[in-house]
Amino acid sequence: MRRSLFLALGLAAFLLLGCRGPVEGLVGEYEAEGQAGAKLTLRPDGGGALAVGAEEAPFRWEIKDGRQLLLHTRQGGILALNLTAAGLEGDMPGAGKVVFLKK
Amino acid sequence: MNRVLTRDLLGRWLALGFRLYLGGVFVYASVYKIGYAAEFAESVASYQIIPALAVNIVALVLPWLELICGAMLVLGIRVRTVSAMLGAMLVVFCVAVAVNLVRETPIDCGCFHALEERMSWKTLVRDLIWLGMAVHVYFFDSPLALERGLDTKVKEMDQ
Amino acid sequence: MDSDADGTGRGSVRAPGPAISHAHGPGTVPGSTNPVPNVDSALGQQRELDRKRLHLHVLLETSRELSGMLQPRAILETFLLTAMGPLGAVRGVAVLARPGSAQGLVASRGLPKADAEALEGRLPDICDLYFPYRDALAGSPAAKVRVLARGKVHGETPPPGGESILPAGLDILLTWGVDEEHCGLLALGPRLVAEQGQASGGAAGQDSGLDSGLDSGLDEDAADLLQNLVHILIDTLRGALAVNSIRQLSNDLTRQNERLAEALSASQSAQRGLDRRVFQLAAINELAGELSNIQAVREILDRFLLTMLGAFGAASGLALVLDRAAGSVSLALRGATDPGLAGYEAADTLVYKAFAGSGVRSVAPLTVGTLADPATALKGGGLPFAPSAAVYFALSPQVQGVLVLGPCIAEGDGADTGRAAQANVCLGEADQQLLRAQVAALLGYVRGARHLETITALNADLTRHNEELTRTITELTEARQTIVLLERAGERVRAFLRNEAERSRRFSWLNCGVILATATLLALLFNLASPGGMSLIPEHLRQPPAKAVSAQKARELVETEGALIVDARPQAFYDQKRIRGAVNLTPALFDMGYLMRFGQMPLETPIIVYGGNISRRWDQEVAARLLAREHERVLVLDDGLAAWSGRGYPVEP
Repeated sequence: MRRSLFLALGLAAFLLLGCRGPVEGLVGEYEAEGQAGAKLTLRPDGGGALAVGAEEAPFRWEIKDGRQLLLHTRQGGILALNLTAAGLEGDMPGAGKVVFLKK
Repeated sequence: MNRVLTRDLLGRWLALGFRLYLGGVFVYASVYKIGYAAEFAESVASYQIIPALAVNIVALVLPWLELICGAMLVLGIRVRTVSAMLGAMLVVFCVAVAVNLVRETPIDCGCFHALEERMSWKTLVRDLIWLGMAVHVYFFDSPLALERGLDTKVKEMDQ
Repeated sequence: MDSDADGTGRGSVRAPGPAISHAHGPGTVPGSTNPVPNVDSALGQQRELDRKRLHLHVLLETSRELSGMLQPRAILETFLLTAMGPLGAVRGVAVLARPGSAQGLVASRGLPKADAEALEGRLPDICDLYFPYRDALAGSPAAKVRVLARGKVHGETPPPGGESILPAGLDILLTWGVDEEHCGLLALGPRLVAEQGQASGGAAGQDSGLDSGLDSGLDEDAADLLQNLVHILIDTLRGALAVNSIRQLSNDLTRQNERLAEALSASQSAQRGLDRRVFQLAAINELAGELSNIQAVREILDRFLLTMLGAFGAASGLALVLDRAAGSVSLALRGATDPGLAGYEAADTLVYKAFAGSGVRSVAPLTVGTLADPATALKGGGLPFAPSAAVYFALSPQVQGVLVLGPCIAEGDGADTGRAAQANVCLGEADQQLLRAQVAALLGYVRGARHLETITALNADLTRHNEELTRTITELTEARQTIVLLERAGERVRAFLRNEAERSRRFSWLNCGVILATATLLALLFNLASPGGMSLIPEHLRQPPAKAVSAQKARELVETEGALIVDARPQAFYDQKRIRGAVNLTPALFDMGYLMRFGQMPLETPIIVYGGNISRRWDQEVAARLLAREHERVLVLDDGLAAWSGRGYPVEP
């Protein structure tokens, strides 16, 4: 009884995380400024990928506080991108500050 | 009368407040960690205290433990045991935080979210406060507990 | 005795009695012993013979006359008639007397009528005078003839007025006894013809008294004849008396028989009555035995009525008990169909009529009253038969009843039926009393039965109450058991709850374990189910470890071959302190970082990875990934940043 209750609570929490706010505007493809070939894709189902050339690095994304875009990798990494008027801006691992412009 | 009331307020009702608050904190803290266990595992690893083999397991189990204990505390089930467990957890957290503060390890707390402000002495104080609350809850019965109601019913039955 | 035998053996004349034979004997002896052959003697003999023949003829005639006669008076008269002639007596008196009772018969002939009647009247005197020795006579069975010489008698005992008893002239006087009771007297008067040839007087013997006693005027032959005649008379009288006596006895016997028959019939009648009474009593006795076993009023009435009908021979009857308090009627009816008397109204009417007819003044308890005229009293009472007897009874003012018997069954006894028909009641007074007594007894039984009914009802009530009580007790017991069970269950629940409450208040290692286990289980399950689940074992342990390189060698590689140093730790660590020129590439963001930074890097460039601690071998993980991306020379710096900085090699910032 207690277990199922807690399981339900956990599931509810998970679903809560799954629920997203007004993110429709963010969905789309972004291109890195200055770095050719790096593209960022945000899918409406919460998934996304960073593509360089033919390779892709998948992630899940979410909005935090309305001004940050958090990218969660499966390996436990988290990357925060600031939402700007032009697009997304943040420190990319190994590449320093990168600006992604929405296409 | 006044003293009784004061004692009551400082004892039982304060305990109730602590109980609800602490439980809520733990439940809230557990939710993100359960959702992003891998990120929590990275946080745990950053503390550099737990052996490599145990990190993932601790990272998996600890949020659930927090969730269960927090929920039980809010509901008022086995309050004493749960508060003791939470207190124990808080002691561990405090020790971990203190150790890493001493080490000057540049890590987030990892208490609620992967991305937080940097761990500091305030974190330790906060944890100690929570520990105090847990101790208070441990020593004071609080109203509005599921099992307290049970106890009352038992007493009614006895009469 | 010798002479007697001699006389009888030789004598040609058969005398009727022995005394006569003896008397005759002396007369014949001289003749035979001295036969005289001359004519005179022949003539004398002839005369003698004639005389004898005459005597015999007289005797024959007399006996013939007398034979068959039964009346003593007729015998006496006939005897006088026949005897006086041959003896030549003018007058004669014959007396047959019973000296014991001074009664007798007097027959006379030739006497004036006044004298004859006087003789009749003086019979007791005659008895006294002539039969003084009757007591002596009474003893002897044989008759003895005494000849009384008149003068002699007078001479010896001069009777007072003796001359006047027997008329004068009756010189020949004989007395004799007939039997124990009767004596006779014969007196003959003066003879017409003086007989010649006086008796010789030589005869001796027992009859010598006769000779001497006889009148001198009477010769021997005449005396002999007289003797014989008297004997015949005696015999005849004896016979007559015997016959008379027998006839008397026979008559007496017949009368006795008749009386006996009467007594028998009376006793039979009494016996019948007795039988009937015995039957009644037996029936009643049996009834008593039966009734004492019967407990229902109705049944008692029925049985009682049946017995009464049987005992008193009634064809139909009715017994009814009316209970005014209960408004109920107990009716027993036999020999007729119920015309509605079982109903309360009809029964009430009948009982009231019976009460009125019985003449009972009050209805005190145990009153019994016989109805004198049941037919009238109960008229209109709705009886289905004609009542012949009725008894009213009251057990109490509230409980009254009536017993009515119908007409009797006709009995064979004529007298009884006659009486019954006469009174229109078949019960006699005794029967009525018996009936009344029985009804009184019935009252006792009915009362007993009613009491028993009450007791039975009370008992039944009690039993029912007892049952209810038992049931209640059983229910209570069950309820109590249930309560006990419930209490026990409640106690258990309470104990459990208290225990739980107690436990909730206490710290419990068990609860800790349970919670921990639960959390572990949930965590593992959730991890397994989650798409973002991670492995429990650190990833670097799954791949073979990369080659290690010392700090010195690493620096050489950097300086000589332009090796790339990769910091595998999280960015905060990298930001805090790093080998100069190192690139941050954590396993968590490996893919992104690799794509952004290492995409165009030649694969042969040596890569030196560092950054690991007790909890996580980030360097190993990164090295493994780089190797997986086919970098040819991936080396892990031994002891990492500590070794590098320990050697004094440049770090930043």
